[in-house]
Amino acid sequence: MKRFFPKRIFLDPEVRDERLTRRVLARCPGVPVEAPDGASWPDDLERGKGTLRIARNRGEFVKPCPATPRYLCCNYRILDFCGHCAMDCTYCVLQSYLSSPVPTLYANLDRALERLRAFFRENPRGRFRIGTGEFTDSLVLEHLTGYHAEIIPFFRDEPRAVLEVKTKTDNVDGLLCVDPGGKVITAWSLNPPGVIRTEEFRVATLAERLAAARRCQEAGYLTAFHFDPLIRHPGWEEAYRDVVRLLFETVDPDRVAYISLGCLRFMPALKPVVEERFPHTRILYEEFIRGEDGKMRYLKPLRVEMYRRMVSWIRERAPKAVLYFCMERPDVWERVLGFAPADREALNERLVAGWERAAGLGRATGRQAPGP
Amino acid sequence: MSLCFTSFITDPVPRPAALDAIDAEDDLYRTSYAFDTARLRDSIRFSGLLHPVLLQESPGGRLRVAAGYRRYRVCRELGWKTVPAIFATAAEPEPLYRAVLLENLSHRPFNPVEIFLALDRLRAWVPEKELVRDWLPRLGLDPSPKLLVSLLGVRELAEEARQALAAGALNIGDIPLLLRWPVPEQAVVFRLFRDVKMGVNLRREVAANLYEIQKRDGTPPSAFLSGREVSCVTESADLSTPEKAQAVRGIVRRGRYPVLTGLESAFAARVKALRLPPCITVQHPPFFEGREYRCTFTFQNGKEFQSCVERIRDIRHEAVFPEEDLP
Repeated sequence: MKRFFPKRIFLDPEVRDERLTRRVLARCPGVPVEAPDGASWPDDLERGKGTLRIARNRGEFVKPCPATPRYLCCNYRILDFCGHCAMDCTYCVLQSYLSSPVPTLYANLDRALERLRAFFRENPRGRFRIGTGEFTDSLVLEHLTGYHAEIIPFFRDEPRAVLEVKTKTDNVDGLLCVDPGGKVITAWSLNPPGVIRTEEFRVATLAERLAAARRCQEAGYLTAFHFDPLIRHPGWEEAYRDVVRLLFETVDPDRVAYISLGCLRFMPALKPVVEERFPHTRILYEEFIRGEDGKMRYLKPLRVEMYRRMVSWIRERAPKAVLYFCMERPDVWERVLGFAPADREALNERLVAGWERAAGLGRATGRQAPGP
Repeated sequence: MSLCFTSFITDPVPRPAALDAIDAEDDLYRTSYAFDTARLRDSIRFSGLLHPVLLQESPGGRLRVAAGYRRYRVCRELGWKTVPAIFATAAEPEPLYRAVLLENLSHRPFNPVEIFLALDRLRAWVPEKELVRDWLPRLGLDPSPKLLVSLLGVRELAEEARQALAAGALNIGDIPLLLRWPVPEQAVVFRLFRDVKMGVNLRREVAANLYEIQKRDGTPPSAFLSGREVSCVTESADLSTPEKAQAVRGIVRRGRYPVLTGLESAFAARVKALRLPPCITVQHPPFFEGREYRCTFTFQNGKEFQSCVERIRDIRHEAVFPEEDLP
């Protein structure tokens, strides 16, 4: 996969001396640097995605996942280190969710670590999965920022948290020399090669992602996989079955903390944006209905059908895999898996147990992932 | 910029101009489209021409109509050889066009195609912002950039649809619906709208579903609508026009949402099999997404209440909604 290098960097003067800023600038020699209020500030995603802004995060660094009512959230926490993504997926919700078209790296890393410490002080109970891949791809800038390599030691020393690094890249070289101490889950979003070709741009191929996952496992990282979004398309069954086969031919199922499944969904406002930016795509025209949270989703029987197939294929190859649905209804859980977690805390516990099992901690503590 | 006609008019005294010398195809200043001249013809035939037409000599030496194109057309239709005219000169067409346009707007409403023609002409001289801010309100519309885009889309519209737009059978909101397709497909969709007299909301829904069927399956409207199911409806002697419109809507919706409409039909069939009186209704959750199915009954007195309760009690053992069948 070709690494991302911005054509232009917009630098907020107040973060000029941050070490993250200096590192990025040193790794982007020759790239024009200017203030973000200049005439060349892009006003659309086409131009914005080729650039990078380096700024201060003035808001909260640690946030709950923006869940929606009536659909079960996994209680994921977000470390908001970058807004927007240099990659370009047709279905990306960030296209209508974020107002700025420019990927924005928050350079005040020490403040992020400070807020993480505060978060654990303020939440003295519970265990947390904290991820960086909600408002961007976790690793798309890693070769420029070394961000995760720098925060991994923090998580290694924090007993109540695991860091999840979610990506569609194979940009893991910077991680491999850092000891994760069983506290880092590198996670990949997976789709069949045909879907990647038509719907995901500037990303790693499926083979590259799986190879990177294997390298991470070999370096001591736990892994997770997200079949999210699952996209209905002609031949989807064979295509996804093949992905599952390739996945477990490449990685060790015992080092997989959990696997999520989530069918394509989006706020209605996204549709005109996608239609304009990606007129070739057909993914918006399956049988979508407006869900009880206002998001467009596949009709429930279609979702159940996809999940049942996926679960059976995964179970064939990884019977012990901890599976969960991202933002699904409890009755869908019941229909597909035969049970539903009582609430988001219960689901989080299930996933934490999956992490502990994969890290070899579960056997020591006797913990099992709740549910079948 | 002065828009005073007197600044363009060389001689305010009308004189006859030969109709043969006027280039009927020269539409530089024309603002009219698809007009009805019946009343104007009556007026000119019986009363003569009160207002002379405004002509300008074109670079080719022929005459072009700057104002009064409809009057000129009627005079020609009535067999006149000459028409009373005054003459204008203008180094650049823009000021005279603006003057002519404003004069027209002062005494008649423009149909959407005429609005398009005006905007399209002005676009050569006026920045888009000014078109939206100043000219859309002058043309009786909201100053909306989106509206401007819709109106300029008339350029790509099938001629049949243009005529329907001018006649009020379509409205401006229909333009982007039809522009999703090339002209031959637009014509197919437009004819469907026209033949079953679909209302605005129905047109919007049917066009969206036809477009999405094409995007999903690659089936253009001409292919989808050529099916026997559609022709049975449109050619039916038993259905009223509103019934035809609803039936076509149903066919297109089934094409777009085959699974959802299948669930709806199956559910409706199960409810129908209960033979419930009208005071008892059974509803599924919206789109079968939630889990709350609903049975309601209404009554106006104790007797009706008793009757509803007994009917519900009668059906309590009928396995009409087996759990595994409910989505």
